[in-house]
Amino acid sequence: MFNSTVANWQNNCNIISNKIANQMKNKIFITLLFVSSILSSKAQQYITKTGIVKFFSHTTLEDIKAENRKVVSVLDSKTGIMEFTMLMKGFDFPNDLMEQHFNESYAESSLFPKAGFKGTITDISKVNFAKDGTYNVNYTGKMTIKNVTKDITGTASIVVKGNNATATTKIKVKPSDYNFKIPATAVGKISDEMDVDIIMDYKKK
Amino acid sequence: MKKKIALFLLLIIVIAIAALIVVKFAFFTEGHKDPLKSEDKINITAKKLFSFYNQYEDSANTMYLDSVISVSGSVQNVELNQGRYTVTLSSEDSSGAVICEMDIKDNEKIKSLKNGSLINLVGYCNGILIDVQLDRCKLAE
Repeated sequence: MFNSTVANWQNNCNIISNKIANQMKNKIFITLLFVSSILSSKAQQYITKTGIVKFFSHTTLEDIKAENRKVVSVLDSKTGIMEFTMLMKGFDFPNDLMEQHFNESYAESSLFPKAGFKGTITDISKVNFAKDGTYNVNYTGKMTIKNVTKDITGTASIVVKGNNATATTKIKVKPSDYNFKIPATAVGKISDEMDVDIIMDYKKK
Repeated sequence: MKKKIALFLLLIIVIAIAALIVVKFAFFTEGHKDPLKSEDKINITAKKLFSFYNQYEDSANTMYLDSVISVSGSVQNVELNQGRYTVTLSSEDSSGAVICEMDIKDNEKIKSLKNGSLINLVGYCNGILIDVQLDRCKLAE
């Protein structure tokens, strides 16, 4: 009896310390992202707290689209390192019912509240941040959703205008790759592959 | 008799279709609930909301995630991004603030907001990145 109580207590302690560790890791990651961006040679950092991630799913039965503006991102204009983190609860659907299904059944947003990308624009030297214009670049990196990490490569366009730089890219995301479980009742209504638009309206820091 | 049965069946089909349309409009095409009309609003200052989230993210999520929050504070910044306003309320802490993504129906009212003015916004809590994030916010009169 006493042993099992101790075991329970130890188990609870472990769960709590793991939670705190995860929470700390998240906080440290985001804080470092911004502190490093502010400390290390100011002129090369571009930041946004209102990035946009949209997805669109098309099937013959239903079109579903949602938009998320709860996205923070940093782009280093010298090294090309680019990262973003978003809140899964930030996806805005046309109605409450769709949003509820997405958060509770598919994305399990309470269990996995954040998702993000860490990568590098491999040919960042092509972009002249001092000269207004549109530049096409290539990137590679890792996307993490629901604690599942996958490699992503693609092309993006960066539009430089004064102290602003808008980076946009389109990618395809398979919900099944990131452990999204589609219930039998929704099969046919949700596409196997989603079109995802990412738009980051950066400002020079 | 056959005519009566046919009419009866037709009536049932018409009622079923009408019911389906009502259900579709009531549940599937309904937009979003107006946060101002919520009866379970949590009243809190931007300072307290940020401070709690900044220290105890998991507990704060348990208490506030998805809830309707009526948050009061002083306007730190108003920004228009891709047609939608975001209003930043000061937390009196340099490490973060409360960012409220506004309902586009309130665009006209938000335009005239001045930095430093004390306001009350009501919206849904999405959690914290660097700042606490609220969406579908409306300006409380």
